Amino acid sequence: MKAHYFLVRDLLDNQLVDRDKRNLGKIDGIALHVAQGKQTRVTHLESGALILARRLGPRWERIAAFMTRHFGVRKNPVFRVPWSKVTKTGIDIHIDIDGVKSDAFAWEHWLDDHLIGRLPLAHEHIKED
Amino acid sequence: MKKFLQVALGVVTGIGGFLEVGSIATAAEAGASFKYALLWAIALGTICLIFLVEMTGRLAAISKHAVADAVRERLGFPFAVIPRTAEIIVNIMVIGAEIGGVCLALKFMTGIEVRVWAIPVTLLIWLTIWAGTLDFIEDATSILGLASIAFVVAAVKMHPDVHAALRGLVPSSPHQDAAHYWYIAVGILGATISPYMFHFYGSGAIEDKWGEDSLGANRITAVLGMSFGAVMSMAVLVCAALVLAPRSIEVARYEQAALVLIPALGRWGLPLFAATLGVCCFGAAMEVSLATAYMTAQTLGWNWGENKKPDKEARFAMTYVIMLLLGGTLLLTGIDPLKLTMLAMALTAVILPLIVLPFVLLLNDQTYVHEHTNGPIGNTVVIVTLVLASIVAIVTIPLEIMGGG
Amino acid sequence: MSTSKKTEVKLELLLGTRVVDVNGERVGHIEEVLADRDGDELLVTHYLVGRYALFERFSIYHVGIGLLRYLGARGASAKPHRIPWDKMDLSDPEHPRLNCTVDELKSR
Repeated sequence: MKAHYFLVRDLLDNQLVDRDKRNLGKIDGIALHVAQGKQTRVTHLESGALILARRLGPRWERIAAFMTRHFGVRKNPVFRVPWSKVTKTGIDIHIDIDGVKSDAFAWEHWLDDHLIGRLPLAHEHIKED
Repeated sequence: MKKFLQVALGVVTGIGGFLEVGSIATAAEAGASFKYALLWAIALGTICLIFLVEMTGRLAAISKHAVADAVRERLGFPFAVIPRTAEIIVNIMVIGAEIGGVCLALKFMTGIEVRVWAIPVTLLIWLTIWAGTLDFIEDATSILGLASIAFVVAAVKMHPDVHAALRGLVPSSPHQDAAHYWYIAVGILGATISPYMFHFYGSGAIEDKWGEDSLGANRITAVLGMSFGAVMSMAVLVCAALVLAPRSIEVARYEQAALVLIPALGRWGLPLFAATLGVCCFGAAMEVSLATAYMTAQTLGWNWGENKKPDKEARFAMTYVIMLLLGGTLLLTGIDPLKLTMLAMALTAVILPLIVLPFVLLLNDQTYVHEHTNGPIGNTVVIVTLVLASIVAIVTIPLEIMGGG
Repeated sequence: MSTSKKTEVKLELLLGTRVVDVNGERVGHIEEVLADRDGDELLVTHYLVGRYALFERFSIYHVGIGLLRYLGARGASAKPHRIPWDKMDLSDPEHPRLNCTVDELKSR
């Protein structure tokens, strides 16, 4: 991992990748811990529609909050990854997490269980696993 | 041998994949209304397209990231959301128009109305994407799309005035009906420099696991494939110039465009036109649906891949399903596919500057392309394309009002 | 805010916010944040403020400045303000302010 970062250029909006190289979403937000007398530090990388909506403005945030409250499938609408879980940085940010078991995959599982997986040939073998 | 096949297929993809409902409609209207005078618009659009497609492939091969990925990462979500949202809206219209093209082809063959075919055609397109691999989709549409060579054969058989055609490659001002002339020129540029091509081409390169050793093949594919494709488009224009213009037939409906092959190819004219239209539009509908899914998945960071089983990328699969549903539904409203096509091409022209601008930044960013950054020629062409796209974007809506259908 | 209070600040919301100095004089907008890795931690070192900071973010600093100069742009300072982390007061993240003056910053 490199020693110096431009947080916006090198982290924000970059791809999060789990230990099995699956995509877990983009880094939609970065949480900073600010305390008097202590150096500000990055604590978490965040991903989720709510974070994205907030970046577009308060009106979009309200709409996203309504949608996630009533139609969301994640346990927590914001997927937070502690900085300590980052194993490799570059164009993609690799984290030491099993994405399939995480909240980042909640929508994939829900759509597979309720819609996509129920259509014929969804699990067919011509394609890769 | 593998490299040769890769290049050959890329070239065939360019030929077979270039023509679709927008390029056929705009080329036919151009030829019918202004004979050879708008050949320069196809040539200009193709030159810009060649450079942008090559850059797309280079970006994918070196960075393993497609354009939509890189735009989000480099320029941020608040910027990326604007062109991506605009593209989704335009692509719904384009998919509707392409499905309409297939339905029209079936109408020409059977006499059965477009709306009757809308649902079965949409289902068939969905099934092909759903069950097929990217290779199958590319191979099938490319090879079947070679039927578009019928336009070249017909154009040659009708002995066009070659000198007049060559003069048409030089931009000129029309003697009359300027608004309509420039409206078609803008439509041709929008049909040629289609944003969905960058998403489809780049994502396909990543799925095919291109690397640094693919750069040569990428360049050849971009140049030869797009050039041969442009020849098909020009052949449509020439056929319309020779068949429709002398009879003062303007292309207000696709049925009029369908006449262009009859004088040269006799009773084979209409079936070949229908076959070409049907196959090219079927392929384009798949490409645009997949391109939208690629672009959305890459912007939001989802897993994606046409070669993966749908249940493994549920959100990616859901996206192209929704796009097909919306496009098909649009057609069921009874909207005229030709009007839908021209509107989609005009709106594409409006958003082009936002599509082209990132190429200036990304292909000069060594984080992404390492030492394979743009040279001075590449940068000049992209900046000229950006300026051109900006001018086109500004004039498109007034032209649509003044010179459109 | 009390001196011991800790705050979580969202970087993506900090971007583009206007920074003023201790006298209320305008400094610029936050365009980038620099950080250094220290073991398992990623510590913020500087905030880049000002229009030229965008060039740094897009890695086209020299191209961008060159182009602007070619087009006749003049500027008192062609470099963005590099504000050390301890000079930035983020107690109100929507209105960040320096805890010094711009001149004190420039004289560093």
